[in-house]
Amino acid sequence: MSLDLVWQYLLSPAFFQGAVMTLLITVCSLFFGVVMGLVLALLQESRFRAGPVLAFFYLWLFRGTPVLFQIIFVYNVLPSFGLRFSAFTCAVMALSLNEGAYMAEILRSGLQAVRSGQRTAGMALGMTQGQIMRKIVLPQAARIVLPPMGNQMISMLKSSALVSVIAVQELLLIANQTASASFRYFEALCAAGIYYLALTTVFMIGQAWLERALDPKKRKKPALSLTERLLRSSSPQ
Amino acid sequence: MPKKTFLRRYATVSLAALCLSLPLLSQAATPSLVTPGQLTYGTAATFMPFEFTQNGQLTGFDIDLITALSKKLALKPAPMSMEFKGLIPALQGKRLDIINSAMYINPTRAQQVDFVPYLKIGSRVIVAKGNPEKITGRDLSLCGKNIAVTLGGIEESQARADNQKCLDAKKSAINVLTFPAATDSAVAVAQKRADAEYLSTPGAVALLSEKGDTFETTGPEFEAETHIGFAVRKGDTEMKTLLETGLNDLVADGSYQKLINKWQFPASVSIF
Repeated sequence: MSLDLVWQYLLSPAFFQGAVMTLLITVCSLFFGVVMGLVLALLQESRFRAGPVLAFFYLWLFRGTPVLFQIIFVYNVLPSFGLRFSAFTCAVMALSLNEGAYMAEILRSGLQAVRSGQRTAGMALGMTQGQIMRKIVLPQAARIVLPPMGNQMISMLKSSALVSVIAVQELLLIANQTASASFRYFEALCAAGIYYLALTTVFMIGQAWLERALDPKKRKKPALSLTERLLRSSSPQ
Repeated sequence: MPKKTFLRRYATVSLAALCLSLPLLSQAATPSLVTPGQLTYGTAATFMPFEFTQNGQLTGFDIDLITALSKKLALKPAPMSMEFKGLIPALQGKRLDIINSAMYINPTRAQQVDFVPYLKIGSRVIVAKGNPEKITGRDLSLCGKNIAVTLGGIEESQARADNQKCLDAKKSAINVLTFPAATDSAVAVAQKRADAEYLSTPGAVALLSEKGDTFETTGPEFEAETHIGFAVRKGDTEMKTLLETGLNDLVADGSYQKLINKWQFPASVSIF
């Protein structure tokens, strides 16, 4: 094990590009995953019969099959139906579709956690359905769903490594390729691991910041130092 | 807070635009080539010395061979690096024109793809330096030991066959450990999790030249008649003929032999 080599890999353009690719895939897939999840969560709550049935089918399909299979399917089978996208689009598409199913459940739990009495109260005040959603339900639901969403984000960061099977040059594939040429396996994996940890740190800071921004009680308290904030966000209060 | 709203909207829109614009839709495919004017090939660049990356550059015997071959065919080589298990699905899904990844030819694979053979390679038994388990080669000294092989590689089928031989000889079974790439098998041997590894002869030469202080070979080369080849889609005779013609040209003008010398392969690898 040579620390010098780990350092060298860390600073190499190939690893950096791999990390950027991993981050890009994760952020894009999360964005579309949350959008997808929100649509599905609302469908599940909808009064029309078709909504919940559709959502159930979606969840059954995308939670019930391995992500690897979904990635290969989107990349290699869709072209035979005339739908041909680049490897990157396919990666984001497959991961978002999968992520959407999990996000839907997280968001649904958040929406259901806001008691129906509050909606009734909103109606009593003469608010429209849209206003109730925007001003009463969503602000509270957002706070509830943040911690499980943080989990989901970080696990997405790592499942993005699966897209190496469709020729996307992400971090872990770069590490494997580097290792197979030099036979320095631990050094290459360590370098990739450090990048993953760095990205996770960024995500956790983002989560802590969001939790603070969404909670009016926390907002009023004096600003905490970064480490304090991280520790607080990950421990029960 | 109009400013904040604007910022938020701007962030959302730019994120969406980034995601959508980055991957350009690939061009419409002509019947024979994925991208006109280019020979799009898939490769799993984790198999030194056939295909691997060095300083971010794809290199190796196969890469040199396909570059020379494309020149003969007046095509531009367009590599796609991916994991080995993604190669055949990508070829069948018309994402690739050919697979160029030192793929060994066996009947099961030949049912799914057509092959154009270009090399024959044998395998060696690799053990940790000092040969702690006293393995004498590919023989009954392997019975009861752990053998590391690449998943789906020819070495896996060889190890399974050897296991049967051990059982037939009333000896204890071989524990076959399958790993995703040759590198992982080598690590398993170095960590003493596996007692031996089967590795292609050129792979063994590369491994020993990089890590001669950790590994050694034992016993003679075996099954030197294993052919490796380019894979094309089943029934894509046009592409098959094209590759065969190009390959014959390379043999005729001596560049094939030059590449074998460049990568220091034994002369026995040539099939022409």
